[in-house]
Amino acid sequence: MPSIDELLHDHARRWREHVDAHGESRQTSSPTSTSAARPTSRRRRVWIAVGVAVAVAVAGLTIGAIVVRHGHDAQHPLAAATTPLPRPPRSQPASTATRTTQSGLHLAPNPAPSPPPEAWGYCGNIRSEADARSLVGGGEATALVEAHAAGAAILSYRVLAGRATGLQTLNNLTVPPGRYLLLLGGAAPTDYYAALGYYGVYRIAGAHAYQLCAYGVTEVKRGGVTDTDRITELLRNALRR
Amino acid sequence: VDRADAAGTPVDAFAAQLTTVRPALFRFAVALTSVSEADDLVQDAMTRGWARRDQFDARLGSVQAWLLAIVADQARARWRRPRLPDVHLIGELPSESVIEETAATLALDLAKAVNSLPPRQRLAIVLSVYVDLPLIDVATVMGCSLGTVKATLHTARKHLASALGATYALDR
Repeated sequence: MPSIDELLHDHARRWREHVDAHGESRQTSSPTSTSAARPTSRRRRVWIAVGVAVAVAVAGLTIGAIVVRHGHDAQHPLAAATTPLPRPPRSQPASTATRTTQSGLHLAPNPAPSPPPEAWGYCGNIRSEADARSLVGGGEATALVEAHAAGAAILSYRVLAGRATGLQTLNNLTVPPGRYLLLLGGAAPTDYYAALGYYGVYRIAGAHAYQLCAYGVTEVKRGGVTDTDRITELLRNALRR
Repeated sequence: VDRADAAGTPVDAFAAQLTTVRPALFRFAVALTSVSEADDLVQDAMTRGWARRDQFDARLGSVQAWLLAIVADQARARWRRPRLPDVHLIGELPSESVIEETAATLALDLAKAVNSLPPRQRLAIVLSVYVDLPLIDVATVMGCSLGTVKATLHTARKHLASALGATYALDR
């Protein structure tokens, strides 16, 4: 019969395979990169089921220990990592040569941007809400249409996510003053953090919308759920600058 | 292109470390929340870590341990909010999955045994066995010595063996 160590480690190994497959699929967006896509044996399926069940059961209770130990220990050497982030410095104002739409939205001039490589899924043809809806779901489409009309370049996360070349591409990408680049999606770690360091990338609202602010937009906006009105409001505020 | 940021940290070096430690962060995030929420949790934690990377002190632990602590903090913050609708993980399995009665029983017993552990023992097991962290990182995250981690794991295994041994006749 197996020892407790064998049981635990065997189970944990299969649990990690299952979890890592999810992580990889989110990072690469490749339909062939997940172990779930591979044929599984009956034994494997059984162990996956065991792993998932234990993961769910362990999840809620584990956090309690963290709260007790980490949340209330001000002397913990890692306590500094848990303090609120400072507000980032305000960057250069956008171009002053703006125009005003019928809805009162002040738009910056719309010079031709340096288009990202096609491989990045540059979405330069958003002419209607239907086009936007092909990229995102629900009400975010309205905000995207407005953003595009205002001159925003929009990259689709579906091709951006996990690309190793994304960091270098972002570094070389020039976004003219008054233009805004939207990164959609939440699974582009390297690109995401590179952009944060160079330009300032902040989640605006919702779990699947990020705003890369090249010029004039530094306000950090974060929300827990998708809020169409909030996204639109944030975009308008950003474009007014 | 200047590849060092205002904090003087080589961007590529730190970005490379983020990529390296991401799998462990994701595992831990899944253990704390769920697969569906873990990605956002890791993103938030890595963003915070990136923004505060100049405060990282290598003498206090590895980058991985530092970021794991941030993941825990982010999870705690989320936990205090109204919870989003749960997504049942079982629904993410292949549709042809067959869950045998024995497997379900084993899963239930194993989950019950792990969950019945005292919080510190449970945390040690999750970090060490499930997230697969080096013991020194477990010690950093738990804020204790390496010896204490080893002792805690030993005790936890004894408890698990005691809880499961009678049913599954485990070797001691």
